[in-house]
Amino acid sequence: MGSLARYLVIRALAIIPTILILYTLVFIILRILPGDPILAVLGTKNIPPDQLENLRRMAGLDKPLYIQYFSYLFNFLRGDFGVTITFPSGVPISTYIAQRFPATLELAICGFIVSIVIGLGTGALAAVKKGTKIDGALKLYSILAYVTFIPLLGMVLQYIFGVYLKWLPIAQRIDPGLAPRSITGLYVLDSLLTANWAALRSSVLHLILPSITLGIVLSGAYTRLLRNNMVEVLSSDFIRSYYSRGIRERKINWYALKNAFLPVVTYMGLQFAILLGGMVLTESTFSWPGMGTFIVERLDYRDYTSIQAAIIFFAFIVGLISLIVDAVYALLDPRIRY
Amino acid sequence: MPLMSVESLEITYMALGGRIKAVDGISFSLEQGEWMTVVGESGSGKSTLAYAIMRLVPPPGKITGGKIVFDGMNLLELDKEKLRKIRGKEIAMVFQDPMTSLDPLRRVGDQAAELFVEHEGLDMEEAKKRAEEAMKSVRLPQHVLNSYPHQLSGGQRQRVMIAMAMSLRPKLLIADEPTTALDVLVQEGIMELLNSMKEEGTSILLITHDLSLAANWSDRIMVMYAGRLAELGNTEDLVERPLHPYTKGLLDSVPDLWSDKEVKPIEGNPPDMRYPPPGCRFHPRCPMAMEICSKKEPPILSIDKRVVSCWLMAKEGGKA
Amino acid sequence: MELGSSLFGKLLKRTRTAIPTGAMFNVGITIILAVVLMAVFAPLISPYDPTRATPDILKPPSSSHLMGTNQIGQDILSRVIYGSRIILMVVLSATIISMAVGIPLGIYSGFIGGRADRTLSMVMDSIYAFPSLILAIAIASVLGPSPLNTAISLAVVYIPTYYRMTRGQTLSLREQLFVEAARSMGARKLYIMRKHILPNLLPTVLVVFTLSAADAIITEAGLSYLGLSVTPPTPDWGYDLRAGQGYFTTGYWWISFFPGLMITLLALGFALVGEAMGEKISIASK
Repeated sequence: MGSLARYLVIRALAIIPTILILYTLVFIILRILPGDPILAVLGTKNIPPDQLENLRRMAGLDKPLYIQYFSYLFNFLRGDFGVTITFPSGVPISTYIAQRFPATLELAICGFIVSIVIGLGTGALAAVKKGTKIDGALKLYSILAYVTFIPLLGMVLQYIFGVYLKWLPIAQRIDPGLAPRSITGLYVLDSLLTANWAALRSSVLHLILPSITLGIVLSGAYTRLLRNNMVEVLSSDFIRSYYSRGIRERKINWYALKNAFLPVVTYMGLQFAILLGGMVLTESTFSWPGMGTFIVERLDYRDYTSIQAAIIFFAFIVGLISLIVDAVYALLDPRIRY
Repeated sequence: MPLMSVESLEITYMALGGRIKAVDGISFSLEQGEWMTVVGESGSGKSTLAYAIMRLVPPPGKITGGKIVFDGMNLLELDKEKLRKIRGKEIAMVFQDPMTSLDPLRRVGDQAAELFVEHEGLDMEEAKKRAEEAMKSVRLPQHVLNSYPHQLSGGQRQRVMIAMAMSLRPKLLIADEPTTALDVLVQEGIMELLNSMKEEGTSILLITHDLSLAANWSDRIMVMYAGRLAELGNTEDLVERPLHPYTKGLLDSVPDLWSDKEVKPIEGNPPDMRYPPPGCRFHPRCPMAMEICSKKEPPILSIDKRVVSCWLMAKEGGKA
Repeated sequence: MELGSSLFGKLLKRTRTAIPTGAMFNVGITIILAVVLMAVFAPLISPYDPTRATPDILKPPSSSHLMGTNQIGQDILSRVIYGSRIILMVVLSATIISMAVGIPLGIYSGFIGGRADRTLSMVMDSIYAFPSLILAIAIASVLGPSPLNTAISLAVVYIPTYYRMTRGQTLSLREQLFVEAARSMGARKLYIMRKHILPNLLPTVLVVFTLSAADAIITEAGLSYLGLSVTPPTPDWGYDLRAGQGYFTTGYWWISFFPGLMITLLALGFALVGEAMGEKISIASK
């Protein structure tokens, strides 16, 4: 499929400006905004000037701006994210990111899956039952899901399932000491690959509550979108043709869903940004050792360089996800080829 | 016994402005192996009538009265499952716009083969073979089966639709303006296909606004105006000796290649169906309208093998 | 002032047609009004001083403390009432800034087109695609924790929302007849933008405003939850939720629950209003 590959290459090239713009934007925010960033982040504690200079040098702030812009970018692309400047200082940030990112990724994937399952299921149901009370109720559900404050939902679920029923764990990724040998960093995958059933069980159990929390809140947007798309598709000509040929209604609804689902895929790229945002709050609520809690911790310690690296890292991830979404869409829709 | 008999069919659309009776008391019958064309302007209700037979009238439309007896059963009383079994197998339909009638995400071959799996319980392999035969019968090359709909032309897509409609040898094929979206050369081919089906015993119900198309191919023609029957009869008779002024008007408005006949379009426009004219709906545009035409709905009269709904005929002693 | 022809008059007329009826709208607007009134009349309706620590710590909801007390004895109901002020002020000021920057930029971009439009759109799209909370964290962390800085961070995050909406509307309005007519009569660009395009934007602006206000409330709550907004002892819903989080699973649920509930409720109010208006507009445009 030569033309598919070509399409993807062109889309990849198109992502680069977006990533650069985001990098520039973050750079501007973190370096050019008025005020000394080191002081702002560290607070107004009294720091002897030579230590301040030292910190500046560690943060790379002693060089002229344009050099900083390019050298940071260059280093970043090579995987050098700089070092921490507050407690504990001097640690290469890449170490942290290598530990934390897989945790965030694993939770993101699971949360995403939950949101798709709930969102598509409720959306399709609402479309098929259009105009009935079920449709109205699901509409209300979708709005409520969308506005629910994640920590609130998280805490309630923790209380019900963790404290009251005692069915599920409410914090961390896995029971202490059970972490599987690290291959990908994704505990579920690593447990499967090393046939470590205890680790598998523990990591899956720990994933349940945070994924559901995240998934419910995200699903709201999908429900509405899919419902509206599907209502439109269900009244289209080819669906009528299916009916006229006596195809079973279940099958027809499935075909309609597939067609309605397609525009939702592009929306998913945007949703991923919301997912990352929700990630910070979810991780915080469930003490999940990911990028979200990393940022929060580093904020508490006023570790400017870590925060910077993490945010720029997110910028790259957002661009990458955008590309992946385009690729998936192209794979699913036979009409898209350059 | 006729294959299908429609009795006093009424179809109403509930729109924001009010109710629209798109089809208001239409009755006719269709024999096995007969080709009947329903002719009318847009808004006459002809397409709605066609959809009603398979109960595919889209909301906010609803069938609000009458019967459709097909093969001894009233289609309007069938449950969903029985109806589903009839669709595609006993009655098939070809729609107006071929560009949007196929699922864009599935290959044509899969959509065509599906019919056999659904109705004859074949497995995919055998079904695919039958689909190949179906493509041959409409003179489409085999690669069509592997293609996606967007890779085919409008004419090809319409042929695919016809092939699918033909595949299970239905007793009745309904074709709603099958060639309107296609160019004239392709039209001929499509009509030929329909004719070949008729010769194999399938009844054809063609819906069109094109009277010359009707005249060239059908056994009988039914003329509709504003949801009501205007005239119905054998094609040759009706074209030679039209009784209803509307039919006459339609014939006069069609250019004739072989003569110098002047083309005279019918004056005025079809009525706004929310507020149809009282009495005979055609009277505002009728050159021979009488006083009674604006007051009372004309009776439906049978004269020989012709059915007409016109006050002019009533005076001449036809039977109601 | 002639109500009919002035800009204000036009805006007023258009607003009236955009206001829908129905349960969703009514419930939403009631919630919003209730919270606004709560914020305005806080000193009058608050039973206690929200910042006053008492020895009555960790008391569950009772007749004297309808929402209970927190770990330093502050009355939670009072904190909830006063907390509405911070969140409303921050979100409202952020929205005003976003609109003040985003809308003119959007109109200008859509109207002028060309390179300026393309570049600006690309920048705006990139910001729009970035997770709002994280971007807000970035800005707020540099500026330092304070409600004002939170407002600025939020403002930046939502500028693209208003930009895109007004740009889209401007693009379609630009092609319409009355704009063509005005142009052919030699009207200056600024005049056209002000007199013709601006009034027609109102219904959509209202919808976008309410929906992004709902989003902004959640984001603001996130920022204050992370400690980037107020500092103690100022009552704030997000901050209070975080402060009580450790106690939740040990049974003292009311400390975090009520602030969290209020956040969700206020956002819900805006969302309901926004959705109701959106439906009315899409029905009207059919």
